[in-house]
Amino acid sequence: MPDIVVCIKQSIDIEQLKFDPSTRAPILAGAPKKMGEMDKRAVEEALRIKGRMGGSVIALTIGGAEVEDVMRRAYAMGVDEGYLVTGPELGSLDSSTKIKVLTAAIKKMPHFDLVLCGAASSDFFSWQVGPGLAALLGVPVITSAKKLDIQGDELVVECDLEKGTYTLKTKMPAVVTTTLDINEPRVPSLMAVLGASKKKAKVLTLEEIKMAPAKPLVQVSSIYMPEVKRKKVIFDCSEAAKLEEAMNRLIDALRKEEVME
Amino acid sequence: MDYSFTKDEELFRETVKEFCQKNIAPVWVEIDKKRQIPADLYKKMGEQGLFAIPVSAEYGGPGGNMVLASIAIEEIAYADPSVAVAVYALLCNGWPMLLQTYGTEAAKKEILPHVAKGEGFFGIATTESHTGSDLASHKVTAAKDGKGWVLNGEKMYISGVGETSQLPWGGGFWATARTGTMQEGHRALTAYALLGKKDGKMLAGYEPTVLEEIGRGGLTTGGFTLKNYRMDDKYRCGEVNQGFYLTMEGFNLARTVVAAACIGAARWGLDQAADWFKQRKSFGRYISNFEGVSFKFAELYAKLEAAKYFVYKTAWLADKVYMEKDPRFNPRDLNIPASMAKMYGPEVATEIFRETMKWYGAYAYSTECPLYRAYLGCFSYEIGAEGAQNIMRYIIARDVVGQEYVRW
Repeated sequence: MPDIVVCIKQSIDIEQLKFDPSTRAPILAGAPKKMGEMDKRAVEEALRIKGRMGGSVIALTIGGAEVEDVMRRAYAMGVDEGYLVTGPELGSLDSSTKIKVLTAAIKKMPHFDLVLCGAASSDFFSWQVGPGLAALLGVPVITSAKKLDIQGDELVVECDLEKGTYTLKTKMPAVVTTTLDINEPRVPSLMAVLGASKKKAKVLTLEEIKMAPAKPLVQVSSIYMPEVKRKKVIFDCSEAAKLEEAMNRLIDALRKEEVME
Repeated sequence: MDYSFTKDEELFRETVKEFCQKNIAPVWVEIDKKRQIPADLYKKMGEQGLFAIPVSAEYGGPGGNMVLASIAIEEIAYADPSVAVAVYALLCNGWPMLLQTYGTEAAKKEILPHVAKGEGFFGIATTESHTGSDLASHKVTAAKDGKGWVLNGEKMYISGVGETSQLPWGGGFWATARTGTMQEGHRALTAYALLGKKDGKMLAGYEPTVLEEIGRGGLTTGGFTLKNYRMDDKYRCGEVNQGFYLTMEGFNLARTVVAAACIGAARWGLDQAADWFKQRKSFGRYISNFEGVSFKFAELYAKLEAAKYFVYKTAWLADKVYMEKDPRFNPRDLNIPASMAKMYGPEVATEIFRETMKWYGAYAYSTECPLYRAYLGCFSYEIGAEGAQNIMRYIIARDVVGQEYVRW
């Protein structure tokens, strides 16, 4: 019966994110936020494991005032307990600081067998939190899982890495990061939403987890939308005789752009 | 004053939107073409808690309120702008709430859990073939029959007749019938929870017919004949001869969610327009550069926002009256807000679709373009489903100016 900690984040909803057309910078102030898509899969996977094997699911998040919203969603999905590490200084942290804070919070918990995280957040996509957590917790990590099974005290994880799909095994405790392919997360019902509001997460301060606000290792100097320049290349296949040549030229061009091998 | 939604309401909108975009949006055109809502969708929506939202857990409902119901209906209609699914859902929210308020304990416990689960329908049946709005002239009769009632006559243009017959449990309607003389007009109508089918069996004396409509194809409309239809007194709602007044309260609730459906569909329509502006060029520039287009778009956006305010103000007030029993308000306070919402919402929606179709040009006149499906769906409410538009105007004028100056 594994005890699972799921790290979740209230991410900027990039589908609704607007950009300043003159600077191409995202308009972050007041941007709508919601639980990251890979995080939802991590919660769903934890709940499915609990459904099969029992145990417990604890959701953990850090950040400013908005983190209560992401915890509300986690409760509506069905997690047993929620832990918030919150404070105004935690509103915008770099990945390294987040990893340190999350590690300190997990160490405050009585026991864990498995830590699940989305492989990357839905907004900044650093892909660092899962591996960083494993390093600081001193446990193995398997990243980008698309299938997860527990056999005894061993994790069997199918994951997409670089140029192939691998099946990897490790003993618990461990950290696993989830991709979008691992499952289809549940959408909480109205009853679950209303029930979630009655649950209150445990709030941890930096003092309680013995963390001093750390200096970020990464400074974000600017963020902007990449400019998409269309090349507007036309391959003439207006006549049947030109079709084969046009196709060959198209394939060459795509290879040159490294779109296909 | 606080114009913001609560955290529960925000999360509910987020989840309903996800559910609807996954389960309804990909199939809404198919639903309209095949004239059938998929059988498993009712069950999924029931599990999601999208029916009988204001009904308490005691009667199998999710224990929500009218604001949550309005949010659900708006998002359902955004995903199915033909509004067929939204109309099914709005009927199964507004009228179950009235049954919860005025039905007998036995009727509530028998009917409402099935509606909440999506295995039974509960809508409204007042209209008769000779008139809809003029309830005082309705002819269907209910006569005392021992401890129960026997009903005779015909109801027409009733939404959900086919679904009542098709759903596994069955369902029925909040219906009115005459329990006095014609001369007594609206003072001699009694309300009933009239079932056409229950426990999977059609009931004797209830004979439904289905009509083919021009829009909102996924939902059936038709009528039913009552031939010595017998029912127990437990299905009577409220006191004898009070049916007109209770039904008017129900219309206030239903009109709120009708308007919610229209603003959901209309929001989809304006999104289609905005997307179109980003690709359609004429005379070397995007068509939204023409003031004739962008100024109209801005007007419609403002009208849609106003329509939203009507909906959510009315839903908020309905919750004060019925859910919170706030002594500052009573059911009559909903007459003007609900009428404004119902008057305005459908008219704004159809105007948005007419204009958007013009911006789309010839493509919008082909059946390839789905905009006309949304237009026809919302037009049902401009024609007068759930209350004729001019009746809304009468209600507003009578309540504001005074009944002696604005007579029926």
